[in-house]
Amino acid sequence: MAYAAKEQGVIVRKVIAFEIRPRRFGFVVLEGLELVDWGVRGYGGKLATVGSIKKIESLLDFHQPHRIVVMDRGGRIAPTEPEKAVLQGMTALRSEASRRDIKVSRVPTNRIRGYFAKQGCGTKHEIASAIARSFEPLAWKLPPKRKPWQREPYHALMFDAAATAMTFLSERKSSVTSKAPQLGE
Amino acid sequence: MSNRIPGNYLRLHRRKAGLSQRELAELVGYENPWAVSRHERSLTVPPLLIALAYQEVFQVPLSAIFSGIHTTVSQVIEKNIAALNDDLGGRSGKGRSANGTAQKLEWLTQRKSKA
Repeated sequence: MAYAAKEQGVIVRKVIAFEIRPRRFGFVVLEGLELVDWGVRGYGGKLATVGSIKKIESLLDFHQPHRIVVMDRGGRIAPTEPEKAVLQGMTALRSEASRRDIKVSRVPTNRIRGYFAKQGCGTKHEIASAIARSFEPLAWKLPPKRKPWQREPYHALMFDAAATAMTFLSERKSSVTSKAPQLGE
Repeated sequence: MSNRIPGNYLRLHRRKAGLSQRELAELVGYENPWAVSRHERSLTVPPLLIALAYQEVFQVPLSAIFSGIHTTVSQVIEKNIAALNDDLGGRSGKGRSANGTAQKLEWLTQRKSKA
């Protein structure tokens, strides 16, 4: 456990990964390679604008992470209204992180896809299943494979955030134990 | 925020068990979940009986659940023990309290070898 490492004087880095969407966000918090918190939160029916970022602030207060990791989807020339809300949410997150002196890392979607493709996971459901095998508490939240006409499951955001965090950690050889996370550990 | 003692794993253990704050509160004997919420956020330190109840519920040592408090207490105690050691070491081995001083120094040596 991470606290055992702490007691032995090892500095364990805390990483929080966000998956920001127009009306809610998913997050996971990793201490070393251990999952310490996870969840999906809404903005109280509002869009992810600067004013409705309070719930992210309270998470940063609670966990005091060393680094924030977010997925980088790239920009569009003419973003839609929901995309604009996400961009505003990201801007608010970055300014809050800067205020707290927390580094923000952006992981492009193609790198996430690439990392999981190497593990033999092509679809979102396969990626979520692999994450659920790696982090036992998330197995209880694994949504069933969705049909094309069904909306995205509520808890899927958590798995997207976890995928971002795992990709980030796999790319950082020096992180925590100098051991990259392996699926199914 | 400024009153927070970091490194509290109560929320992690509760969520791993799939318990809500209300359910955990009922398990440890609270009527409402507010106290559990405050313990999770490290806004208040739980009373001894409740802390022991958390340990019993999760079957995890208290030092692991409240590792931040444990680390702080350990550091303070080690500092105080070092001060006591210095104080005892500076005393002369004569007089009425010599045996008592020797006993304490022996205990301190044993304690150090156990650590």
